[in-house]
Amino acid sequence: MPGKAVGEALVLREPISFQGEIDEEGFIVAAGHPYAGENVSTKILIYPEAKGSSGGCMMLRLLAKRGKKPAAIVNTRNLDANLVEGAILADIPMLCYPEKDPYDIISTGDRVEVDGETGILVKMS
Amino acid sequence: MKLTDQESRLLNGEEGEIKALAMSYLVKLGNAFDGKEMVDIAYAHMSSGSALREGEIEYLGELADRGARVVVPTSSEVIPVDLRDPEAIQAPTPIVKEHRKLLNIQRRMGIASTYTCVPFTQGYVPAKGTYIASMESAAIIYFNSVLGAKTNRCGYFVLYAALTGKYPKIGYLLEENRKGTHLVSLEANLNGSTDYGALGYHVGALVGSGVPVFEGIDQPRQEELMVLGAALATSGTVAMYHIVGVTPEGRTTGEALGGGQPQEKIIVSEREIREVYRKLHTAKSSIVDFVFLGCPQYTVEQIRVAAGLLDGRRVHENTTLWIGTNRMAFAMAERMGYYDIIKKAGGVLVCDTCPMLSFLRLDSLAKQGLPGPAFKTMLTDSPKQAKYANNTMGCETILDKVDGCVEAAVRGKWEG
Repeated sequence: MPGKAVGEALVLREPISFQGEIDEEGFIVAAGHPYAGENVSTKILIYPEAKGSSGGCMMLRLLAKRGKKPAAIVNTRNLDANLVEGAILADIPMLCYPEKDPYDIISTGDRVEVDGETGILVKMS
Repeated sequence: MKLTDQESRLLNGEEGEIKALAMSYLVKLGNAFDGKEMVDIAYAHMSSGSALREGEIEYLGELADRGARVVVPTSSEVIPVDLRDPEAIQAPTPIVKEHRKLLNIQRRMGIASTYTCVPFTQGYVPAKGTYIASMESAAIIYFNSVLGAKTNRCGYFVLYAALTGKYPKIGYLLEENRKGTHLVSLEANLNGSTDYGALGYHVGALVGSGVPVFEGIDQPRQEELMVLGAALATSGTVAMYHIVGVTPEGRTTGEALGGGQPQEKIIVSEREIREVYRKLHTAKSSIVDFVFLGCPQYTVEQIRVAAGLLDGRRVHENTTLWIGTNRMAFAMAERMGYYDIIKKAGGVLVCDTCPMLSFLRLDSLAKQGLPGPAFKTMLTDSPKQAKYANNTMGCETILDKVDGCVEAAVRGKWEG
């Protein structure tokens, strides 16, 4: 998905569903989710793949309307059509299938740059 | 992406601005997946738009005002209230009014106001091999797996597909993505739809976005497959499965795997099935103030069974019982006397909505200025509803089969 973004990385090792696991303020609310309490808004969100109910794309659209959307999304394992719809509607740059394992390189809190057009993901600091 | 002359005309606005807008979104989606072409779709199941998410109904209304009309048979998804009898579930009037507006917008656009997560129980039965566009994870997986129609995990873009009759040929519309990836041998006896749900919940978490191939499932009922699929798509992102000898693209294990080898072999025994019931039991108390049956929406047969269990009994005064269904099953339940039995027992046969998408969600209650959660403990026969009720409604949950659910509704207490 085209578009550029710079921001703070939020790295999740687990799949997440925008329908039901994230609230309207961008907080991860799923009980028992290892990242419960984190907020996705303005973050470069790096995680394996989307999961769960297909209402997820509408939630991304709503987060965008409320100014709470992630700055970019990087999925490492699988690209879900429903999530891509949400990214188009919410105008969020997206990358998938990075060549190197980002979990080896990027940690939560790092500043990273994403270019959805060229498919480049850079750790800045 | 290569477009036909007709598709180019749609994109260029020669068939009107609405179709051009819709087509531009579909082309973006196709390009994101390196799609090569568009296909014609035979059917669409779309989001109704929810008054709980700001601007959705207004946006659909604007499109209708600008002349938007669907060009393929189109059904629509569950809404946050019951429009047949909103008082029976104390649905807030402003949200009911919004959705009466929606009903009118859908009439103008040619969309059937089915408000269902299981449109294939109401006459929307696309043929094997046809391309369709569906949202609702529980419907998507049934269309792909049981009927052999081909849909992606669509969301909002079903609207654009319905307005043009087109969808990019990507994902599960391509043969190579419909092949089995994981081989699942069932070594447990499944007894009723909730056990099928427990199987789906266990396997979905293991396969993620894979395509599981089940061996050892014999003569499943329609309702059991509905609950199996809904659960696979809750703990995972599963959009397709095969049951060897049962589903149309998996007549043999070899055909289900598309001639390849599975990435992984999974054996499921009684222990794993029981473990799902334990995992989705988050309630600390055995007092049950809410019992919900009907995720996915109950069929006439399931309503018959629940009414039989309730006949001549009375739901506990501190417990609310909802049985979720759609208007078509409701009409038959009314004719057969099941509605009267449920009503007399103090239960509510609810149309159009379900708790996890309803005005009882925590975010909706907060907007209405009401305290939440609406209920402390939900007992349900559905792994999907149990999982999401914890997150969206703030309920603690218990998972049990329909007979255990009805028994607890009468006693006000779950006794295992």
